[in-house]
Amino acid sequence: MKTEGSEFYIGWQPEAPDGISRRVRHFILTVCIIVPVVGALLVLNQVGFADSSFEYGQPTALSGALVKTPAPFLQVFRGKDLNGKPVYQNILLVSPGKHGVGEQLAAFEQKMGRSLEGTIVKLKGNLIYHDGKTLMEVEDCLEMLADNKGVGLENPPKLLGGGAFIGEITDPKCLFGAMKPGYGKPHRSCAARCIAGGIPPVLKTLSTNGKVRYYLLAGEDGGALNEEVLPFVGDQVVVCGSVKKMGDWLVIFKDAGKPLGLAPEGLELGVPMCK
Amino acid sequence: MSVNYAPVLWNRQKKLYDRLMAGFMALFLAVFIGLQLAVYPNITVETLIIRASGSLAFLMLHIILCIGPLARIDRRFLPLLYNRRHLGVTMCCVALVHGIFNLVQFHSLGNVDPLISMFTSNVNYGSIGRFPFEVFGFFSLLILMLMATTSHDFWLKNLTPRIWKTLHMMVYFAYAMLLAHVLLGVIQLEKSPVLIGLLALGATTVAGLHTWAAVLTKRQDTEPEAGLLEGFHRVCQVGEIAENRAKTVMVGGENIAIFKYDGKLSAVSNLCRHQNGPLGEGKIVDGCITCPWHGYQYLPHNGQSPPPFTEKVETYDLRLEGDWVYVNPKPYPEGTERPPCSIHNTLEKLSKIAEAYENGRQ
Repeated sequence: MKTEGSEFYIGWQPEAPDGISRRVRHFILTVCIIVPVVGALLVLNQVGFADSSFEYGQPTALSGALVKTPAPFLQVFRGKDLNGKPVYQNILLVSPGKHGVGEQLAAFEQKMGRSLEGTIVKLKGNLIYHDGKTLMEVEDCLEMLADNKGVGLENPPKLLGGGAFIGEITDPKCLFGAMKPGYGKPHRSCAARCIAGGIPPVLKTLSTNGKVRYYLLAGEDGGALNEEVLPFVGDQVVVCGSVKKMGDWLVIFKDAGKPLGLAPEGLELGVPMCK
Repeated sequence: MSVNYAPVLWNRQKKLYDRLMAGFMALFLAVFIGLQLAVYPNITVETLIIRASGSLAFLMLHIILCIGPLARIDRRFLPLLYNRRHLGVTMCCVALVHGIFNLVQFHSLGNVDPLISMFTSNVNYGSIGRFPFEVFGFFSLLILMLMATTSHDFWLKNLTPRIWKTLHMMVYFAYAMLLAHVLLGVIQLEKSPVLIGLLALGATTVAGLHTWAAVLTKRQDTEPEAGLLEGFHRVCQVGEIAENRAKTVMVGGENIAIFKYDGKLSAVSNLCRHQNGPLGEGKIVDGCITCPWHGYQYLPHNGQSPPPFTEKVETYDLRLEGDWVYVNPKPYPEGTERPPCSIHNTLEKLSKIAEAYENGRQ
């Protein structure tokens, strides 16, 4: 054990001996270098954060046709394209906190005394958007504007094909802006809570060319898949089913006979065969 | 040392210590938050708070864990140990910010209670890679909170130093759990080799310094010499002990410090009554054995703190045979007066024997 001669440090004395002070000063200088270097290395070696937006506290009122399956959407008319065809934006609806919008819509329907599927309604809430996808955290179901059944049929789900898809299951509310990051292991429990609370699950996939795609997950009959995916939230999984395009969203209708499974280790890309 | 309990007994060294600690924390937060906002302006406030507080608390814990062995390797680091409890309590508060924000961000506003959510949202307890890492963080935070709340001398006195020390040794368990918390949590997302390297460097530094200090301490712990005299163990020669300093020996399971001062020798327990600090590494200052950790003082001949203080340590009997020091490892109750062994008498006796021997030869 090293000491500086006969110097002895006593904390309650006003001054420390010179040799001891010198050694402590060296330590302080070392920490002065370590602290900012560690701070900088921690920041500069993160994967970064998405440029997603959550307009929390800035509610927007929107009108559109209510679609309840396979996921709750507000189908908003956005004008016409160059060919004169109407363009709709499907806004996925969620509730505040870690809850799906189901209860809010049920209460609204009860208040109106009827089912609102396909009906034009006006909702107010905070918009969440990223990568071409928009969600609304519904604050208020304001009013039923018109019994305009059939609007949703202008933009029916279109079958694109089928197969097996590998990706991470998470919740769209956090993934598209409520949290950053809204995926990965640190977010796993939060995603599980959101999905358990009724927010429809989403599969985030990465193609071989590095393009990220998002698929809402639904049962073969369009029913909710939340309970079934819960044990796999945050994991790389294989989902087998058919894909349909619903406006600006892709939806995988999972084959009922093919259970979800963990993707083989290291197989995060590509499309394995469904057995 | 104090007669009454007070929240903090401030002195110049403690104030200096706390100012430096606050300065370093501000420096880290300024660099971390400033750089984060400059490089990743998209980060949310919640994530910024969670990451800044978690990183700062973990860095502080590393420094805290390094101070102990550093002070054993080189006594000139002892000032860092003096007010370490303030560093520990502050680190716990920063860790608490991290824990609370995580609980609110990831587990609140759901369909179950946030604490239940922490244990049930991810139930892959049988898998290493998928293990719910939050649980490690939760239990290590509990340990840190327990340590912070019992850090005051009131608890030290009432729990007894042995129980208090055992409780506070749980920091190593908390550290191991925090390593698992980081490895199985954020490192599963942020897979940068630099971050993994930093984590490994931190753990290696902590483990390396502790090993180094343990080896040094083992070398210093003197085993008794082969010699037994009516219950007394031969431990060293008088010349091996520096003036106003001590030699520490482990005899019959007793950790004993033998002090040399004013031509006398006295033996007391090597464990300070305050935090079990190594009294044998202390010094006689103003006639009192002074603990190197926090300056607690004891009179060498009776192990009692000078009035009005009330701390006491065990005392032991010593014998001198020639130049050899013998100690009886049977402790006397704390604060029992034992007459010091006079070195002069022995030396005089030795001189007389040598003189007689010389005269006989002539």
